[in-house]
Amino acid sequence: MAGPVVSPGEPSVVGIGIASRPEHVRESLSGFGVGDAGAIRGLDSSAALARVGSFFGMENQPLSVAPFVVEVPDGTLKRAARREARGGYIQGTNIIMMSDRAMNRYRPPEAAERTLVHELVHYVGFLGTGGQMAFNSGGKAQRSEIPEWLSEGMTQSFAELMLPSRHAPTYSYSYEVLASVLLEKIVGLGRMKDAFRTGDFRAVQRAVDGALGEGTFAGLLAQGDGGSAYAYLYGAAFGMRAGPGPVDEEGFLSDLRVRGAMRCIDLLQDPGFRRLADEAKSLGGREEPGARERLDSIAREIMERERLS
Amino acid sequence: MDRTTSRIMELLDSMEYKESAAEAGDLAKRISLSNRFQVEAIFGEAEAFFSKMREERPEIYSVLAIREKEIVESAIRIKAGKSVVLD
Repeated sequence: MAGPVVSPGEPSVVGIGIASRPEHVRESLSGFGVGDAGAIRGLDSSAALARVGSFFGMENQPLSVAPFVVEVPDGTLKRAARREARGGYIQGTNIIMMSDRAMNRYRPPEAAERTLVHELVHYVGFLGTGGQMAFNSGGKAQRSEIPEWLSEGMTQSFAELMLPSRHAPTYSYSYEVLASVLLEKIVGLGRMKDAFRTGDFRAVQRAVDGALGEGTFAGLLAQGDGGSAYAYLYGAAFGMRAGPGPVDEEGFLSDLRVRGAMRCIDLLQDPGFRRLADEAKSLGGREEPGARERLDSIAREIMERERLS
Repeated sequence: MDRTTSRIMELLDSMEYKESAAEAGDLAKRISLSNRFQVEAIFGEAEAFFSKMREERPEIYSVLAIREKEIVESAIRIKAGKSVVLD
């Protein structure tokens, strides 16, 4: 069992606004144009937080500020996000929001746990990095924002490592997970974790460039999405290579996270599956009669398609 | 090469993906450089662009959805003056 990961006395790398009551969340949401946020209640995230702390080896180096995890109405999150969202982290604060739909309705508990762990990983990363990364360019250290695909790919691939026994496709960030797991196979999980927590990607860069050629990491950062990042890295790692390369392709393909991501990508090619997924998304959170029954029916159909694929 | 990777490579090699990715990148850049008075118009353009792609080319949308997320978060940051990560 992991030890405590929160110690109020520890200084944080990034100064943040600390919320501890639902009123603080309301105030923060009003800044996003959400006037009436509805019912907000605090959630106990200690088990998920212990899992994240143990993963990052933080038992003796706890977080400076405990996250304040709350459940908010699905519509509130949607208004703040201007789109469907299951969870969110307000940067510069300790506020993590979970939609009530993600927590309570229409989703199995492990899916809610996965989303919560995902958001906590975002929080841990932000505390150490402020969303910035360091790397070398032209012999000098540079700083920039972590590309969206890399941030989500690392976050999701880490979250999936923490919940291995209940691995199931999430239909989220599949391409980003493929790119991040391949990067992890090249440089090692330890370097990935360190880079994620500190924002210093120079050791990752050295490992990538050492294995695949100078400038490969810079080329990777220039990719705009997880799909192109995966294709770029795959080509550099496995393409046109005469002898054994730096990565065991079979080992990569047999990683549970890779298998799950590829299953999602394959399923999303199926128009029937996509139609079901879209319908489920539009029904989620609705209260009208029959919505719950239809969602249950869609869930059964999706599981059957997964079984047959 | 496994079947899924081969399919991804084929998709990324298509002219449709290349054109869509270039436009998504352009929208992401424009919105990141916009101010709070310009952001809504660019965001509206982006919404229409991704909505059409989602309807007509869902397999390309599934790759570029991360850019839509990036654009949404940029727009929120510019409008609200603070950042949120949404999943």
